[in-house]
Amino acid sequence: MVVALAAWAADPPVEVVVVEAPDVSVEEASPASVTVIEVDERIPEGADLGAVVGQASGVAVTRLGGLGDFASVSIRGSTGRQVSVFLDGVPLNPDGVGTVDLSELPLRAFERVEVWRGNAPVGMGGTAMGGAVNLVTGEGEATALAGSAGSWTTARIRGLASRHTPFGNVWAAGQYLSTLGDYVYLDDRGTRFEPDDDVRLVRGNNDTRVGSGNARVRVERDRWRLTVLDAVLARDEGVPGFIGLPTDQVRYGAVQNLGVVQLDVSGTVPLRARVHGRHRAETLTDAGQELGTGTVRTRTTSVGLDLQSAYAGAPWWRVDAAASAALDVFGSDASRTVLRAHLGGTAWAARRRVMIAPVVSAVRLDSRGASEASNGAVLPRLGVLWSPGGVVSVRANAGLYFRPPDPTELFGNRGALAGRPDLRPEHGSQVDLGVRLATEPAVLEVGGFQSTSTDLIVYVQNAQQVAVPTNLGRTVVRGVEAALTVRGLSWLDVQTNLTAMQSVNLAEPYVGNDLPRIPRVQLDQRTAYVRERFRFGHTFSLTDGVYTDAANIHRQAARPIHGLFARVPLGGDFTLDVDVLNLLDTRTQRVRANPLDPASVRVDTAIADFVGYPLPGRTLLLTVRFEEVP
Amino acid sequence: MPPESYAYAGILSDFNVGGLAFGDADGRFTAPVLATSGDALVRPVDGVVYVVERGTVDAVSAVDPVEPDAPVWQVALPQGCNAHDLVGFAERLWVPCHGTGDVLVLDPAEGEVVQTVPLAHLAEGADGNPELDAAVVAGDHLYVAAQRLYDDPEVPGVLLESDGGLLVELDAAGAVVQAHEVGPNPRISRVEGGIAVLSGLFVFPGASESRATDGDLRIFDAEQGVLGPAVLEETGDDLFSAIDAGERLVVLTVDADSNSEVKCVDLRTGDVRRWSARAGWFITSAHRPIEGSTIVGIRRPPEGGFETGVAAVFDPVACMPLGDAPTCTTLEPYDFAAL
Repeated sequence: MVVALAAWAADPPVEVVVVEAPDVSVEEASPASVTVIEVDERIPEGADLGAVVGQASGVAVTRLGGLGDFASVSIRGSTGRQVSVFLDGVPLNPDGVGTVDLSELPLRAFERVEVWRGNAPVGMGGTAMGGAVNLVTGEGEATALAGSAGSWTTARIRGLASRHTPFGNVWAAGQYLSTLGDYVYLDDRGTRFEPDDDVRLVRGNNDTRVGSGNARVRVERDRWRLTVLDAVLARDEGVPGFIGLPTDQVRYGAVQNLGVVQLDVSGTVPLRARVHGRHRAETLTDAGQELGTGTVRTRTTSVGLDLQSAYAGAPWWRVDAAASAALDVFGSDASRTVLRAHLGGTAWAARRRVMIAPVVSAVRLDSRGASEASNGAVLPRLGVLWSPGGVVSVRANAGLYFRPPDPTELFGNRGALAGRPDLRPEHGSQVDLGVRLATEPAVLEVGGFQSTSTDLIVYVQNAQQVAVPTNLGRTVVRGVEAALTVRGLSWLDVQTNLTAMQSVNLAEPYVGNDLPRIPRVQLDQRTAYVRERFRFGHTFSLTDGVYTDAANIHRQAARPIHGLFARVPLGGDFTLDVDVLNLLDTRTQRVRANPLDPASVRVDTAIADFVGYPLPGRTLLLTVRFEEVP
Repeated sequence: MPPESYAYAGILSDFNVGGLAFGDADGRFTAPVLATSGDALVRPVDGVVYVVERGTVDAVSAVDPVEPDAPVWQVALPQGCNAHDLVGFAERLWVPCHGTGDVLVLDPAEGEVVQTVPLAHLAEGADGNPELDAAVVAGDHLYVAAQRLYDDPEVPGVLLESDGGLLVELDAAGAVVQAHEVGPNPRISRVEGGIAVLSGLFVFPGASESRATDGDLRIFDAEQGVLGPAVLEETGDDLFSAIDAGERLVVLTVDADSNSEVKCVDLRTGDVRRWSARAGWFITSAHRPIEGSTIVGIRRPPEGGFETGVAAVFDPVACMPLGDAPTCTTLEPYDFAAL
């Protein structure tokens, strides 16, 4: 029988207790809208995790600038906190505790990346409003080592080794990236009407050093399997500041450790038990008050216990259950407990052509700290997959979602962010409908979606220039998403994702406005010519112009970004990869000097992302890679 | 609204972005006509409206109210200036820089910086910055508030300390005549009989480490060079703005829980009348009176969503709003100046 992947998709189905190994992909076996991106030779070496996740339909990745800089993911117009990120099913931002920085995660350590839009499996919390990104480590034996050098004094080394030993499977991966990020950008000096004073400056205090290491041991016997995983991270970087207010000395540092112990027991009623702990310490040092925040230290510790089980009573139905308890401790002031229970089922009908997967999740949170707060919700969801036979399948999903305020929002960080203990959780609903045509050599997916959010938590500055979190908004994001994958041809590899969205702010006083930074159109295209181990390809990313503010005054121009990549065999198991990012060196845009005046003159300004950090121009990256796959 | 009915220039803002707009005597404002940063200031001098953009922008724009959608000139200030005010004095424009401790002197014809008056030597503590704030003209001298803030190493974040501020007296050539000691973190405005000096430490509202600070209001006699006794003392309130409203001083305050209050002070009798904004409302700014009234910007709270901010015409004698006029855009009143 087909395993109910909606319940077990935290791991590949073959890793879990299976009654019968499935012969279908995740996309085909779940009603959910999911994109699975294999991290293989098709991915250019210059791509990082943010770039790969950004290829999926309905996904927008917000970046702070160059290589190694902060990147967070938005799905179908969600905020970064509304997307849960998992490493082998273990939450990296449990219940929306902050936004996961994708740049900290070493892409090549993973075998594949799953992007669940909306209806994520209960094994991944199941209640995140935007969806979930699951990073899945591999099983097979492999040895890989790569060294890169490139623009902006960038160097990167990464390695991966996986071996089956008599003791069990041992897997380790690591990466170290160092870059100065000293690219040139345009500073209009805040005087759009005075272009004569524009200057081109070298981005300073933009260096990044980030290292990560992951190790996993799996011991497997007849009826059980034990997995121990540890992931460490350390980063140190300059915080370069806005275009008009660059900094010299502001630094950010973080160390993090994630440890997981997981036991899978097979049988008629299989069981998964998992204990995980995560500690992250961050320091923002602004001794010179360049940003005005002073020195801010935050410590977050999370420990959790997850239990999952399933029972297949007959070939046509199955029940899945999951429960979890987590404790999040924020500094010395605040903590919260989160209890979750999920009960889901999968039933097949019409000779297994119809799959129905209802889920009910119950969540309860109790916060302690500056004040007490308790929140809870019962969240039903339903997914339906219809596979009439042949190449076509149709899926539909509907559900309710929930995100409680995180400790920073509740209690502040004693820096520029104030806390507000009386915040209400965010709620949302999402419906989608999609069709998948899987043929040789191409797979086409087309779908539509609508998601609504209420009580959105946003930061609003008060009169004393302190940002206070507030339950504000109601929003609607609706759109269509399409993906075309051509892989059946030995010489051609094509991946195209198109998303057209309409985002509407329903909150006073911005009723009818576009949501900031949600593009109406986003297109990602990768085309590669393949001949044995030689590859040559082109990437194209088009992001429609977006408003950068809720009042819809400032609008960025559309950003078409081209890239080239090539892989040349060097002999043996060695290859040389050449990546050119932002091929046309697009660093400026033409905008109206006074955006409130339709007749205003047009001037050049720097292309900036996320709070006004300029983006780099053409970037070259050379990589020598050794890879041995037995 | 025709330009001849303009009584105020104002910055409407959502604290992220802003725009220059114009209002009539009843507090009705036009839609924003010139995009600005979210915390810009507006300063009319001799019929020209100067927009002072702070922090991340650091620029001054000279705007003709009749054709306000494109500045007459625009000039970038030196990096890190973080201009906090602009006043006309001795046929020049004087701009105190909170970030660098300099006072910039601009030629009003073209905006060129013609002189830099360094005041960093008046700093307190290791940061080397006296944190200049507002400037006012009294008699034939210019007075600049030096807040002299410093970070408290025992308290992380933006909580700042100040053991005492200065009122720096400059002559028309930019020479320091005298530095008068006043209370900590002074914020000043020109009032009848001298300079109103509001003192008190920074308040960090709403955070777990929030603390209320005590503030007071004194009048500095510019002719005698003497700081008078406290005419208003508040416990647990930050006094952040004072406006000369004829018979009264209108003082805006906020406490550690973000409760805003307007206090109307009779300088002759010491009588203080109070009008409290609804809990959570932010009173953002006020400005000088027109025919006995003043105008107070109120930012309504995000309770189930923002309500549009209002510009309330205020009676400083009764100490209550006479009525309010919603600003006509999604942005809220942030800073005003009578034209």
